[in-house]
Amino acid sequence: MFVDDAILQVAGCPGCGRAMWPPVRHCPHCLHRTVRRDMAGRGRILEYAQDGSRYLCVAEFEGGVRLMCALDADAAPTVGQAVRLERMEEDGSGCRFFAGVVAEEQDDA
Amino acid sequence: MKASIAACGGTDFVTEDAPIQDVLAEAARDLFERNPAVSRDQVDAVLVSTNDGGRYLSAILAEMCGIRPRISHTVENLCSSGASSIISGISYVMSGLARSVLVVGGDRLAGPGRVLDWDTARGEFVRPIFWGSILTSSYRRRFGIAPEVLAAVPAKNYRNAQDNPHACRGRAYTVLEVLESRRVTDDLRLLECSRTCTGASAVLITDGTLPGSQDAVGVAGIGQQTDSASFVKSGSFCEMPTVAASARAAYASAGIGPSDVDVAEVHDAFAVCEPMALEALGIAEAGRGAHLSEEMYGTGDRMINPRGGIIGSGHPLGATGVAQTAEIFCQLQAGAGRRQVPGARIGLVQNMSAAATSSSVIILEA
Repeated sequence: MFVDDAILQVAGCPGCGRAMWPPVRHCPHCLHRTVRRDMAGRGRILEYAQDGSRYLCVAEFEGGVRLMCALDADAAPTVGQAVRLERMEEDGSGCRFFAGVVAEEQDDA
Repeated sequence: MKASIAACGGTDFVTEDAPIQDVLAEAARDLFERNPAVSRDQVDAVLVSTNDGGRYLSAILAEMCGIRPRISHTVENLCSSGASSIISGISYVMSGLARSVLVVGGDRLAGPGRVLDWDTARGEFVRPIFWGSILTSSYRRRFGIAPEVLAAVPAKNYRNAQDNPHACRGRAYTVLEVLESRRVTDDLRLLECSRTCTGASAVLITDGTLPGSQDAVGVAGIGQQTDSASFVKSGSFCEMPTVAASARAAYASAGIGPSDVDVAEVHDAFAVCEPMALEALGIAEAGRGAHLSEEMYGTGDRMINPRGGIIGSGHPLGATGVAQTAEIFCQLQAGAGRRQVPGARIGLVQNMSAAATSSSVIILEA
């Protein structure tokens, strides 16, 4: 299990500090054996699109992990906007990621 | 050692399912029937490109065609399995390991190859329409492209496909019909998406010395680039760096530039992919690819995707790169009938996988 409530356990590299998702046994950058670690859920939107009443985005999080997330936003998001990984769901077919836009005054990412 | 494309064949692209080995064998049979000077005894290698997952398909195909090749194997590389297989065949010929390679690419409507399960970073958005939506959203916003400009890409390709007897044909659609087709996401209409189907295509690659090779078309250049397997790791969502890199390598090995290309088949998995590829290939300036396609729709110019591309022809994944190569082969032989681009001497194939996380480019010269 790599998903525990709102904490995403990613593969972390003790050598270079990078994080990887999907989890991999060895760091693709320095080839160190990775360990599981919790990923802080703050990130920024790299790109987005709209699907009916919801948005989806590609966001980059701590350690360089990038995920496609369903985005909870009242208005159209912007590239570079701060987001927080709010929720994950896992079933037999994989993980679903849900992110929310971080209000400007809370954006210390 | 030089390599040439000496013959081609293929099945119709259809929406009925069929056993993959039968589809592949039908394409090979068509090749040999249309080229009676080509002897099956000459074939040193049989390569199959498919995402079907069946076992030992190249040996099965060889047996079904009465060929006993020295080399046979399958190549799987998602949507660019076809071009990857052809480049493997070219490599066998150029290295001297084979004098004649039969490449047959095919997939079927219900095949398993459409979703890359490994890429869990896509979350719930595993279907290709979601990366197509992200690219479309990014490209349109970056370059200020109106929906009706982008809709001219599929309108052009559906129209071109009407003269392709193998196309998974419906009919030609206008820009307005594309814009009014069913909304898939806010950024994509149904008619802006390619569709999977059943079909196979075949080409014969030779060293140019065998009987039946007198009208062969030379392989002038090849280039390939893989940046990742994950869509989210793309370096850009409004550009295609792997296409640019594979094109640079292919142009360099051919000793030509983009302005020398007379005709091209590019990988229009979604409408936005055609202009992005044209820009990465250097055929259009950044942000001008969609306008170039729109202009071609207006003038009837068939330089880009004369067989109807992937949107117009259908997309049996493993067949696509082979079908693209077969089309350019026909164009350079002046044998494309109503699809013919007059005077075409240099042609280009661009085939890619998973939102251009990898790309292959092949340049042929008459």
